Amino acid sequence: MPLYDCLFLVKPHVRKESLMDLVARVGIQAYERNGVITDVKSFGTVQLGYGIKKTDGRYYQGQLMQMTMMVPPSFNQELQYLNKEDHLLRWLIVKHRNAVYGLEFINEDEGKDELSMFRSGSLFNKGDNEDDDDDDDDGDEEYDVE
Amino acid sequence: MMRRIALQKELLRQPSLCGLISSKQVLPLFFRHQSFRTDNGNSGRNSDNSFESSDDFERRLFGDISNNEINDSFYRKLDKLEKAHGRSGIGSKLNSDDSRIIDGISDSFNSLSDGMDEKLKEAARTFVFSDEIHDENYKFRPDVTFYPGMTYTTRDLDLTKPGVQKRFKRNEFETTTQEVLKKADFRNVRFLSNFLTEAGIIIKRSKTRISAKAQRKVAREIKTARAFGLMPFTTMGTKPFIFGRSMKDEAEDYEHQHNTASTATDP
Repeated sequence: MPLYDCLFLVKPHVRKESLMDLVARVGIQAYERNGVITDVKSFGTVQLGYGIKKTDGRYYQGQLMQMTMMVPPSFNQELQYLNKEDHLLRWLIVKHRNAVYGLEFINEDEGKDELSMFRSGSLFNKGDNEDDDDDDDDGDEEYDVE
Repeated sequence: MMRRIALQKELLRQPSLCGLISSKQVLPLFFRHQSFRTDNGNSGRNSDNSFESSDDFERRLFGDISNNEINDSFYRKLDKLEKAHGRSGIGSKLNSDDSRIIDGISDSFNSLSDGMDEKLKEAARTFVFSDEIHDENYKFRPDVTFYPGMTYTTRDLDLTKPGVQKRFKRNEFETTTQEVLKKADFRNVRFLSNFLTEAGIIIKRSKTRISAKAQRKVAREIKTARAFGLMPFTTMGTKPFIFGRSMKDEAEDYEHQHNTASTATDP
């Protein structure tokens, strides 16, 4: 599942409760799709580049919220209902292009460890220690289970 | 004004004179003759020196060594050259005066008597100016405009050289490709607004001086921010976009515009 940023630009006069309600609803949707929410951020009130015209007038300010989450790519389709949302001025979903996922992420870490082991010059000792630790851990778990 | 310029010219010639002197130091004899000649320049030139008796010469040179005639003809040539260069009046007097300083070592002759030394010293120490400096439009260098915060070299103040109008570099926004690739994001409006003109147009790459990749990224992020409402598509006919300021036309904005008598008031 790719990492996405979901941004909501809400009308300035909207109360905090209804704003949180809106964000929470999207969060629940993400969880329903087995997604993970990694971050929720508020940018506060921001000045807009131009007046956004809605049925109830022009808006020159907005409250900006950002939600970072890992959701399936089809999640965008499910958010289309936000277009009919009354409090929203704009909403946007963008993918993190430089994010590293899954096996690549793990491999990257292992590579780093290997390099550090070479640098220390005590490759074998370190490996032995790690093995010992692993064995110990396994033993502990077994005892716990018993 | 004129007096001052003349003085400056004179002072500017000094370094070249110093150069001459240092090169001359190798030949102390040369000086003595030259100083002598320049001092009595007119009389010496009028009388035909080549046919003068060597005794006369020795007397005039306070019992100097022989082969004066050769030297004399040589110095006469030098004098002519000097004339041809248009170095006369103060220039030649200066020359004599400077050579006298070195001449003092052998104290065969000195030109202290003419009082030029004091005059020159005073000229070097005093800066003559008139009441024009109190004038409101007074400019030391009228052909060059110096802006506050601008740096200049001593060469820029040299009035004998034509003024080179430097283009004043306003502290404009400058960035590097690395910085752009790191910071450019449609949420970072503060950074991206540097890439917009007053009218809200994206600044081209030849001006931003960043790589094509970085410029594409900037343009993409600005366009995303525009669509999201964080940045303007255009600000033509409205007030310019400044980060953190409302684009709404407020009463105080109009007041400001009226105060500055600006004609660019929008309806």
